[in-house]
Amino acid sequence: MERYRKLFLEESLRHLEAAEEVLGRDAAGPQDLEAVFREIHSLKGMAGSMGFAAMAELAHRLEDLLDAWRVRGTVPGAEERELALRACDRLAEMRDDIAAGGAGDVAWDDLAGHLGRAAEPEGGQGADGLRVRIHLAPDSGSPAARAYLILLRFREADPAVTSDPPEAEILQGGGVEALDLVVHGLGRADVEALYETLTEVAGLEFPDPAPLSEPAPHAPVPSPPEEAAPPPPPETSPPPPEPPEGPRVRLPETVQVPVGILDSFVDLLGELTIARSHIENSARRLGSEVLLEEVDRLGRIVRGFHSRVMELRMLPFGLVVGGLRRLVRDQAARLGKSVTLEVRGEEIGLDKSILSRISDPLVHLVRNALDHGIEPPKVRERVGKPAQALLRIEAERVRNRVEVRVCDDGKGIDVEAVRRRAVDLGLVTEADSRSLSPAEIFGFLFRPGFSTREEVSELSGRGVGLDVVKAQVDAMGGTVELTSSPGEGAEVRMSLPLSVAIVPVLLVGLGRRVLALPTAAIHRTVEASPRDVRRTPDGHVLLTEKGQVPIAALGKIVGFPCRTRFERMPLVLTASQAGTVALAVDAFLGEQDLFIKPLKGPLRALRGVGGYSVLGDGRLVFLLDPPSLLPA
Amino acid sequence: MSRVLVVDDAAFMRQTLRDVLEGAGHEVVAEAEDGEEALALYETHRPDLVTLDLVMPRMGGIEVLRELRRRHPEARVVVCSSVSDETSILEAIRLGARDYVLKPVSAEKLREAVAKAGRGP
Repeated sequence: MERYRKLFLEESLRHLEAAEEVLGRDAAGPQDLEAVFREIHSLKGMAGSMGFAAMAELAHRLEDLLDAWRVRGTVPGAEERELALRACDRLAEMRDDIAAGGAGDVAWDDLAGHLGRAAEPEGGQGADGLRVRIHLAPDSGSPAARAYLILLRFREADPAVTSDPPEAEILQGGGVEALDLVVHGLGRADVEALYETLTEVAGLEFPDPAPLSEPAPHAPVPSPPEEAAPPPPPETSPPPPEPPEGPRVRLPETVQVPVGILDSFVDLLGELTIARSHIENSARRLGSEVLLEEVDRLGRIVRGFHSRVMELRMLPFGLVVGGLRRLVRDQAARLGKSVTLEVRGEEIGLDKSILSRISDPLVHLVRNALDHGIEPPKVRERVGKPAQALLRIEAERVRNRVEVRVCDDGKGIDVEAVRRRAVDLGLVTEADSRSLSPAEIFGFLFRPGFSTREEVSELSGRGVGLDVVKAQVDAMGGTVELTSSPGEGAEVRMSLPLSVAIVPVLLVGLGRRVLALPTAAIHRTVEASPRDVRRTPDGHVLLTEKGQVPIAALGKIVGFPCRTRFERMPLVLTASQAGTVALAVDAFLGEQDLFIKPLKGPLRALRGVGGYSVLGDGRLVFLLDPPSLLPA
Repeated sequence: MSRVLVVDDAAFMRQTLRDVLEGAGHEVVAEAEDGEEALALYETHRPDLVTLDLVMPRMGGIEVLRELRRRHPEARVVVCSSVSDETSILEAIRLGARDYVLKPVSAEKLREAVAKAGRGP
């Protein structure tokens, strides 16, 4: 946590400085105000996830004010800006208190009233999430189905979304006129965009938060950090018993929880999921409809619990960015390059397990871009680019994954140079290499040992040690790819799961055994008929529109007995170190989310196995890791 | 504009859907009159979107949807069904249908559903 604290301190300072810079200017236009809004929004999210309640609350109030300016569309006068600046000052004091080991509890009640009056109470997104009301079209057929569809669409964007009426009630069927949702991690613009994809809806509202969270004139104010004066007793209620000595005990709105407890939650949740599957299987054997219904209900509760636990573990992406900013600044200065760093999606929530593992690949990619991708200012000017290079780091929620991108506008990678090197290294024949797409050719950059500093940095500008990045991303259950145009820059795109513990898998049967393949690693599945398969001297291949794909019997690789049939052969197309391969299995058994436990002890040496889980019927299932399963 | 596979056991429904969709500038790449044919034609044509009737002989729409989404999680499906069938519609949504349109199909609603289901993440 100490590490995050440091990152937080760096980042919050940057946000505040940026905001104050604009607010202090007389000629700030609407776009500048938009930028301030974003700075304060990020700050609020970070403070909230770090548990600094006072700071999050004040930032929230300030954000409301800025939002009101935004909505009004006029540039605020000096007086209003002065108020915002005072709020920034107070936030900076809170930050200093946190830097000194406190919790940022600096009083701000003198500002609360002003801020509350200045900002039209329009509702907003506090720690409680953003309230959304969606009206169904009056002529909507089957309103329950419509409401359910809307709920699921929002759940794709926010797994922790809650609704009124709740899901169970919607599923009972019947009349629904409007759906009230509370979403987390989405802004109004996100919600509006999502709303645009809905049909048979008749209006979108952002209702005010419940009165409880409205700014009260005498809002409870955090105690000053000093312990000098005892706090004045509240006027309306009898004073709580004070501890005899030491600082006043203030029950906070948020609590800090050791990370170990959060991890054990995930373990217990896994047990719960497995126990539920056991009960479901028993219920099926008994043929008890009543029991099955109850199990179904239990399943919904478990899912709700799951999303809450996962939400607890979410930390903003912005936390890893602070260090990168400094890296960019220092490295660029050292190399005599001029670089603007643009970061998007700092507020995107990531499971802490992912967040702690994304840092290394990001540092690697940023270094690559600075060292090899971005040209010195003189060179850039010579080729007609602005001397100042642009490096973008972006995080974005894409369905139930997070996409993290590192893009630069440097010299890019010469696809032809990469192709030639792949041929030189014997990774592909000259003839075959001619038919590869640029994406496939760039894929070689991720092969171990492909890119070495001496050779590749010269010829391609980028891609040093990308195999390391790929290994780290693979280990998280992610994928990574690179695109580039010579002269225009390069983009590395990582697609990561939101969490590492729960993995969506395809279960496949081999004889009587079951194995799990992460769906993220699967290109697609095919049930091949004999005419799709051809025999070659090197073994069987699958004929696809894109060419031949070698078929490998999964049973042979893992040493399980299997029966390979050639009529309707189920094949799983996946990436291996030697390119795409079709793994032949006996049957597809279905997709499922599995709670994966890591292998322990000597089992860790098992090649190609990423962990294990227990299925509902008690069978042990190993999670395969296709890239490391198959030799290059 | 989307490439659409129309799945319905009633010929007049298929024709209606085709007229509306083509009128809106979409391309109907194939028509299936039962579930098995739907799955096979999906493999052949890989359409952007499927309009799917829920009540069909041999393999019903729910089964088609389940199988289709299992094989192709990216498949986009708009269900066409009658209002008396709310339980099935809810099930179809749970299985990942992007939208539904009630029979008798309103051309306007179908156009909107297909346009919106065909884009976005």
